Amino acid sequence: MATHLDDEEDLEKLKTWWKDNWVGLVAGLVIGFGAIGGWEGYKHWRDGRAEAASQMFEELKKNLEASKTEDADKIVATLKADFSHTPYAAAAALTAAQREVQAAKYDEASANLAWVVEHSSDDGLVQVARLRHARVLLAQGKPDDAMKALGDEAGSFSSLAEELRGDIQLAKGDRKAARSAYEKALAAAESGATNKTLLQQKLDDLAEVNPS
Amino acid sequence: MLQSIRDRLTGPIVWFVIALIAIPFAFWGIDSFNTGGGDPVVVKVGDQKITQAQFRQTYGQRYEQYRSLLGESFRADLFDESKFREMTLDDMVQESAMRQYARSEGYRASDATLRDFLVSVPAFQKDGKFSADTYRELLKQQGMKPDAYEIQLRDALAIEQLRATVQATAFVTPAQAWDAQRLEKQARRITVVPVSSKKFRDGVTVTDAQIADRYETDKTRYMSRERLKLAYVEVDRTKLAAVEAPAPEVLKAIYDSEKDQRFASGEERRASHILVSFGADKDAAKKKADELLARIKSGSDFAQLAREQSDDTGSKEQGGDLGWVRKGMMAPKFETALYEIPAANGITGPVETEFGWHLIKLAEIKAASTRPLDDAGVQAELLDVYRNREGEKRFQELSTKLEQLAFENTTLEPVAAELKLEIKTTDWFTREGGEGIAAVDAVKQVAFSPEVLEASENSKPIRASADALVVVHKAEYEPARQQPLEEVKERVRETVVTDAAVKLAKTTADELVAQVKAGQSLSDAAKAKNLEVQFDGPAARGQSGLEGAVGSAIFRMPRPAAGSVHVEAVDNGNGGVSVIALTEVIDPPKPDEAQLATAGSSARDSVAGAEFGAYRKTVEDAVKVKRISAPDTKTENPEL
Repeated sequence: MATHLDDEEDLEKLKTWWKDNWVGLVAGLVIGFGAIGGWEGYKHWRDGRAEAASQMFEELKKNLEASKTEDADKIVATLKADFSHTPYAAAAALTAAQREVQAAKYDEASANLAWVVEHSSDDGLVQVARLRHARVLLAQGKPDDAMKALGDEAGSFSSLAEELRGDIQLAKGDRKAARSAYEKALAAAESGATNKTLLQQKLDDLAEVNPS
Repeated sequence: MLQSIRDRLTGPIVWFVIALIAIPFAFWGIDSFNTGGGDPVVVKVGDQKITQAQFRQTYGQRYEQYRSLLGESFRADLFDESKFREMTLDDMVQESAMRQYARSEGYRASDATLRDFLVSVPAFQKDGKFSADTYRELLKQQGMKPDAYEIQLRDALAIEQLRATVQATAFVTPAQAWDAQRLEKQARRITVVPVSSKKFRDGVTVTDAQIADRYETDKTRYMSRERLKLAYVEVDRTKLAAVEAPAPEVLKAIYDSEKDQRFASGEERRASHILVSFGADKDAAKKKADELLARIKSGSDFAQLAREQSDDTGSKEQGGDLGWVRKGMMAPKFETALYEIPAANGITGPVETEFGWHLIKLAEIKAASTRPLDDAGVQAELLDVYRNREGEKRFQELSTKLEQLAFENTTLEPVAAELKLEIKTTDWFTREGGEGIAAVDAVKQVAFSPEVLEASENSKPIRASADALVVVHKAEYEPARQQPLEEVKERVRETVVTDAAVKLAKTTADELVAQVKAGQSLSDAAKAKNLEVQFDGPAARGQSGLEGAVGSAIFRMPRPAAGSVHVEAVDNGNGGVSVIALTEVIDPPKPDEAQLATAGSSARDSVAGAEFGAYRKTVEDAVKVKRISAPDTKTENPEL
């Protein structure tokens, strides 16, 4: 049971404690609030940059629809140079690569896709770019480079990677290796995957390699 | 101690303590401390939980959309509920995972994208232009505030950007396109001889013992399902007596209370604009806008210049015309500038908004006005309002009475007599549903509920369509039962005969295969057995005149070496066995570049779909999706 005397004593203790420690306490609070403020400020700045990049990406799409390719190229370059920490830089590079493949400019497409593999923080997007990079290399007649670009760890892209491995083997004339890659690809495919029909056709076309 | 705290409940220490408690709420909001009630969680997606209630709501909405999409052709008995449930949950998981991933990766839709989208939605438009009133009204009906809606929309647009980044950038190389086309257009030279089981049926004799045996093994196939007939009364809003026109004073009263929202219009200004978007360089864009303004001031035609130079695809063809503009429709800076122009034909600019630089021209001003009571259109609208309200009121009264009577009585007759309704009866239907009201989910559920099925009570009123309520009562019921052998003997005999005949057909087909392998041609071997050749020549994928099973088997057969033949017997899914002899695989000629480009588009879609599917999986693994319990579509209260 607390008495009046205890109260007085407690109060005195609190007062001395306060005298000894207020500087540290206030400093701690200032640093704490400063950190929170700084973090909020950083978030605001980051959102602003993301919005600017987002807006440029939308304009890039509009320019491409209107076939203003020069303006489009400028935006891709700006995004890659100044906004590489936003996802829109990778998006712009992928968009550019698509156009370059359609125009058979494989060297440029290859460079853009390699840029995404190197710079994107999005693991899924890196896998997409890796796969496309390998396809471009195959189209350039470099099956060994394509195989290297494909890498080993494909995660949920393993079905697509195996299918491409099969394509590469087929291009090199190894029907047996192609067939076994396609078999792996089919086994790894999700039930509703849109590439399944073609994959089955590719496999069936090699039926004589391994007649069951 | 407690006493002294109370005594000193003023001063800096107390405020310090209060501040300590308040800080977390100021920065993280009270929501994160609120872990939610007893609603079971179906899936955890990252830091979001999808609960049963949320799932049910989404499922219900999508079910209604699906049903109204199919309209009359919707068949409740063919509807695969478990598949639809999986699809709905799958989409919800995908949406949630994508949203969280898009945020963490830094995707963010800009204000301009948001506005571009809002003005393009037909539901928010009035007379082909975005209307802020229509927009707010529609959101209000959905019980949403514009702020909350815009946050959701911004997320949705960011997800769309994420999706487009992966899917819209997909491509196929010419080699890939050629590969896909070569396989698709491949033909195979074949001879097909079907051996039908029908011709062997007459030779099959079946004993009663065989039938009894077969019945015993397949017993579960010979069950009749439980079924039910319902008696019901129906109250239909559209069949109520028409509401007679009221006294003029009533319409006047409605007019007085509603005129501000319904019949008044604020000042409107008809505006045109030329937009110069920022592109990669904002200052260069400003310079261009200034130049355009100078050209207009020195006499160039505004509309002509808009057609040539404006970056606003929505208005440039109309010479920059934006139509009639009211307050609240445009970006705030645009609006302020427009309303500062003193008189028609004035021009101002360049004004900066998130879209870019605008040059704005005021074309016309329409002053604020209110349509008078005696206007014919106003009278018609008032009458409509009155009729709707009155009709709704009567329907509500009737519904209340219906509910009360259904509850007070155990049979339908007193209910029908009191409300002067006719008692109708459904045909037999099972738990899967039936015709008429038995096709409605809510009715099905109530019909097989204990109250109706076992206790033979009146149901509560059930919404059978948007305008109708029904109260149902059990009329007749037949439980599931084993059908005795006598009742199904013919069906059993049929299976036994078919199986035996197929076996005989198979033996014949195997003989043919052996003969072809020994060097005879399939046509000759068939002729000797009095069998006809069904197909002889090159067959394409999906070749007409062949059974589906045969068509796909052809393309699974290995390539024969030159000059030799590959032969197989396959079940043709048509109650028989087909013998196929393959002599040659014919690849199509390699097309030119232009043909490849068009062929590539479907191959591109398939690659894009597969890549996005794999990407989605990566996203869901990164965000972490965890299934907690099975989704449930049963509502606690299916009535109303």
